[in-house]
Amino acid sequence: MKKAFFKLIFFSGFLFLFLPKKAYAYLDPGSGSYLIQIIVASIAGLTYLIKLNWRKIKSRFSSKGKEENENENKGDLL
Amino acid sequence: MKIKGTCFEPSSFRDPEGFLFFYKSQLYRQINQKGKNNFDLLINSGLYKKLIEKQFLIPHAEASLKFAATKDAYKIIKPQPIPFLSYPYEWSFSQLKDAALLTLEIQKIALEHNISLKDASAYNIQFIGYKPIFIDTLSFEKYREGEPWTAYRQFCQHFLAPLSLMAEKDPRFNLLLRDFIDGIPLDLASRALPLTTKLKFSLLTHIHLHALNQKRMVNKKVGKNKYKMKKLQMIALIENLKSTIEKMKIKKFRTEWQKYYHFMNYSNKAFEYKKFLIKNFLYKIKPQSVIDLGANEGIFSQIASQTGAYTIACDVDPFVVEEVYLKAKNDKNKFLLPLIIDLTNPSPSLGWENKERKSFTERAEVDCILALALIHHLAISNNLPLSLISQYFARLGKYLIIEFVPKQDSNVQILLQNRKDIFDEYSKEVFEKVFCNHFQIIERKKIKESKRELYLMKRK
Repeated sequence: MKKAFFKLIFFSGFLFLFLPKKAYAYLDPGSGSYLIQIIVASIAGLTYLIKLNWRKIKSRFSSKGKEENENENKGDLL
Repeated sequence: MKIKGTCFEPSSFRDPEGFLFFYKSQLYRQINQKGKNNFDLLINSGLYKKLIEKQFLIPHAEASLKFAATKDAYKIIKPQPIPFLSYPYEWSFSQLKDAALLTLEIQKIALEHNISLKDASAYNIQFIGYKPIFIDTLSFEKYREGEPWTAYRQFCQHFLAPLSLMAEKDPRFNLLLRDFIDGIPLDLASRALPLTTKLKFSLLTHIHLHALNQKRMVNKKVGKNKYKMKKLQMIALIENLKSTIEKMKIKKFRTEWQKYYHFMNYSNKAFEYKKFLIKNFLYKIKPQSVIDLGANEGIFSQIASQTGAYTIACDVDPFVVEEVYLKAKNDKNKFLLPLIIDLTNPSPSLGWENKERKSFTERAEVDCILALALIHHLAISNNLPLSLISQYFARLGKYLIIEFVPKQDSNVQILLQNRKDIFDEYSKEVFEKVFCNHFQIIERKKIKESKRELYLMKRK
């Protein structure tokens, strides 16, 4: 489970692969802007995911954190 | 084919999904058949309701299709009117910042409904008093998984570039938006920004690398099927832009006008008396709309707004306008809109055919003009003949509350200390005579403990 989670974080920065679809817009997004946006969004996406899951990541490296995390999860269930 | 009696709003021609038009001086928005799907999605997804509840989007009422301006109309809506149109080059730093943050917040909420903003123009935001509001009901489109944000470039040009220049260099950079109607070109912003901004990840990427990449990719086709962006990444991009803008601050330095009140030659009693007189004048004429020219810290604009008049506080100094805005925001004052206006060079009409953005003068017809402690700056510092001042004020307002500051006044003496006094005509008698060409004096009051006089005049 954890392994899958870390894989997800690692690859989220490189998630360029998706459904092909024709762009429709009255504004020209600009080719330079298009690419830089994807690069920034990939980096931002990665940090965003890390931020969202910071506790879980922290608990991976500390046994204490792990317990806390488990307790928290129990609390959530309750 | 235009239907008789309608008149297109000249700023609304880019989007094929609809446009604004006037019918019997009322403003309507037509949604074309082409815009049907996106408009229905906005309403049916619950996004419209949510944005209205939060007071983020201008509410509208549905109007009869018989008002349609052209034959391909799908729906006609009547948006709630905006009391006074203002433009980004007239906003202070925090006004532009709040407009940017509202745009991002709307995009974030829209994404939750699988909808995205198809443009991010600063002209899509207007202010009702302290509150920014999104006015383009047709800016929403279906979000398509994998596609990046079409409006990203426009957002950077309209908001991020001017805000970073204002924060990192000087707040007067907002005026660049007057020359560049589609926002500040990123290569220009990149050149004008200090080198240290390259050390900040957000400005390095959104401005400097963005500009560089635009240059590199000019006229090149992008393999859009190859490069895709996940929704999560788009949310992260919006969050990144949001936190970048939230952190921006302008560096404060004291300006000429901020010092003004400290050098003011009023005793406390005289100042209180002046406030009392102005309040009395305003209650007498009960204006619905007021423009305070040279509002400075906005004390008299606040008084006007408290009488229920929608008040525009104009000043040339971006710092004082910023202060007035922050105060209005703090007071949640929906009747006070501060704007950066240089009265000696007010905003011109701009854009295609000079019709897209209206000049200040076109927009500024109000019930009452306040011109307090102003005339000596126009007549002496700016060499404006009294007749021209009177003529312009008569064009703007039905009533005029004006303070005459005589030559003996120490402030006028300061203006004359380093120059030859060529202003033989600058006297109370000539002032009254000249202004009576356009106005009728209703009341004249001497301000106690000062050499100044306050007039209430009505346009002839």
